[in-house]
Amino acid sequence: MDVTYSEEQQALRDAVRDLLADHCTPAHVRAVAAGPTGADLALHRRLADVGVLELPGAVELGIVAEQTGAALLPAPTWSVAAVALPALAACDGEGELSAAARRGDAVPVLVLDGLVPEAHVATHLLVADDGELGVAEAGACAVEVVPTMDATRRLCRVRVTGATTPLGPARPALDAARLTGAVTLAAELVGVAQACLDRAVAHARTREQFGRPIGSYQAVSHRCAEMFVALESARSLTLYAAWAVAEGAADATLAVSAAKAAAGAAAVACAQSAIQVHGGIGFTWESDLHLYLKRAQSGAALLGTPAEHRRRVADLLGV
Amino acid sequence: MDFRDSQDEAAFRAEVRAWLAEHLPAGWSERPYARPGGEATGDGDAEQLRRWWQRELYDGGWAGLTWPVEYGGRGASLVHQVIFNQEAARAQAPEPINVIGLYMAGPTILSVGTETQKRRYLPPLLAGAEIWCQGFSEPGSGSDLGAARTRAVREGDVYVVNGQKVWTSYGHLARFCILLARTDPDQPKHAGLSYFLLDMDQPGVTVRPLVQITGDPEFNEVFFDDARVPVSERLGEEGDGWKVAMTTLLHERGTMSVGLQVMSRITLDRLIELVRKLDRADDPVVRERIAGFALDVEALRITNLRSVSGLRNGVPGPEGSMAKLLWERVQQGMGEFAMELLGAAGQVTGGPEVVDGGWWQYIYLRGRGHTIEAGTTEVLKNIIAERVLGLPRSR
Ligand SMILES: Cc1cc2nc3c(=O)[nH]c(=O)nc-3n(C[C@H](O)[C@H](O)[C@H](O)COP(=O)(O)OP(=O)(O)OC[C@H]3O[C@@H](n4cnc5c(N)ncnc54)[C@H](O)[C@@H]3O)c2cc1C
Repeated sequence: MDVTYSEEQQALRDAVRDLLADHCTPAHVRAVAAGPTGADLALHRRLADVGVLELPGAVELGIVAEQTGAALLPAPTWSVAAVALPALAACDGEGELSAAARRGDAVPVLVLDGLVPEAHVATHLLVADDGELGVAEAGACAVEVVPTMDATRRLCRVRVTGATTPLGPARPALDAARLTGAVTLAAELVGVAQACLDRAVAHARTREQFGRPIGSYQAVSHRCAEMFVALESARSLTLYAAWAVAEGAADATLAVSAAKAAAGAAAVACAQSAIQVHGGIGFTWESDLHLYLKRAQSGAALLGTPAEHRRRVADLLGV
Repeated sequence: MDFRDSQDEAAFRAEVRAWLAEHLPAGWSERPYARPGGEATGDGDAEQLRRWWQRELYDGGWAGLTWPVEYGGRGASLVHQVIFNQEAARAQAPEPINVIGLYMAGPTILSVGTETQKRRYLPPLLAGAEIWCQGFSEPGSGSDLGAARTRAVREGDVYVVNGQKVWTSYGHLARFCILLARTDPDQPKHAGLSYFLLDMDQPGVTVRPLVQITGDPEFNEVFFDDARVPVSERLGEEGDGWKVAMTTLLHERGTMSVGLQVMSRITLDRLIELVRKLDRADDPVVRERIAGFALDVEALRITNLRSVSGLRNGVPGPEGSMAKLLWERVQQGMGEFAMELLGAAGQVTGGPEVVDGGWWQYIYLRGRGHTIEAGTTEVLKNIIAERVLGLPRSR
């Protein structure tokens, strides 16, 4: 048994982190979020260029997602890598569309729930109909961006108006997408929580009130410690769930629900706490913390809320 | 002890109810949820509505219920104020615009002001003709208010003010500011402060709006560049600023929470409506959470009654910190729970499918500020621990 990352996995993490440090700064995220599409496709392609869309499985996807969450990546990379590609793989193996998507040339998005992330920048939409998964060109669909809280990941309503080409049975595709999508989103939320904790701790160390750093008051330091506990528990559950999905373990579904529930709750709690530790400045639009709070909320809500996943855990435990 | 209205109180309640029914706009209870606004929302309609409502209240004789008649008030007891608030909550009435004036500047001027100051400031404050803001916090001193560095230097009949305030709610709308500034830099922290009623309408004052996480520009940075305030507009003696500021803060946490209860009652009622609308009223988990909030809202109501009964027109004690803590907890908790209930639908802030006009996202996001404004949770807990429970000081 060894539950640490391999050297290769560490190298992947570092490469993505460095790339995002250069190309996904907070200022850039704000600029993209304020733009018309809220998505940076050039950045998505850069990530494709370092191999992010050709990863072997859920563990590697999680490694990447943690970094993209911490950097608030405003690009459809999760939608393609963790939702659409696993669906394609489960139903038609590796077809042309998958290959184009892995190169970053095509941006397929799967319609999984009513509100579809990033469908407005998709080149292809994957839609289940009557037990079959079909693919439609973006032009054959009416896609409407819905006004939502999180500007770094837009949500859409999708209606197919033109022709679809059948790919294969929908069931396994949707199941694979839900599992890999949810566990990778959990990893992204772990990244969000980590970024919030880092900011809270940095502020608590340097901000002084009453002649002392506020981090010396236990109300503040214990809050940071609580964030750490929530974050690391979510990380543990997410690491295991990613491995369970990659290995096709029998308890993968249970593990993913546990991870998604914990990571959603941890990200929201850490973002809220980071604002509290910052005081007035944390409540401003100028601070990045509200971007994290809103991303935490949207991540927690997509593919099952913490409460829904907890109920599922209870079901699967046979309670 | 008697929790029932006396005959006089019952008559008063009926009068309030009838007046509200008559003066709230037609179809008020069926309107789409407007942002309630603890503060000015930067939404022109909401601001106009709240200005208009304050004027109505004033004309109807409901603004400053407990204030003396000679300053535009009605000379009623705090119990009457509580009854008024309960009825306002029941009718989901809007919040008047001049909350800093009504709950902080006004009561402080009433306690400490000279006769001339009271006559000058209080009537237009009640009418909402002059809006007030609170210039206490600075970039370097929020929780540690005693470390304020904005300077006021006396030159003959005026003080010349230089420095910066921040998070100044309503600063962009305000005509006057209750200002805490340092008059004697040689005195230890709190001793060198004085308290002023500063006219914002002068060249030495620059207001720069700051946008909050809700997207609304509710608070501001305020810069003082040789701004002037006449010596006659100092509130209290020179060097008494800290004492006067404490009076304001006790009102902010005590008197104000009597009014804030209105907001939590309205939020609870709407949360129950939401649960029904989402068809979740049978879910035992949901029921238990709702009941928890209802207990807190009810505890807040009764706690306010207790402090009001004991107080009868004085300055509230540090127990007001408890009411504020209870309020922020339940108000924030209800916003969080609404987001949990709504799930993905809770992300939607506009368009045809939005739930309750985006009101819940506003309550949720605005709620993050409740545990920071008017004394952070941590500072209020310190106050309870040290001043109410007598535990040793942490600093
Ligand atoms: C919506 C909103 C409206 C506001 N309106 C006004 C206004 O109109 N006028 C005005 O003057 N101010 C206003 N404020 C400012 C508010 O009073 C301050 O933000 C607050 O007092 C905290 O100060 P700070 O922001 O400097 O944070 P800090 O004091 O730096 O606090 C940062 C963190 O450290 C904690 N902390 C600090 N000291 C201690 C301690 N001794 N023990 C334990 N924990 C501690 C705090 O609780 C907080 O979590 C407003 C703030 C908000 C959010």
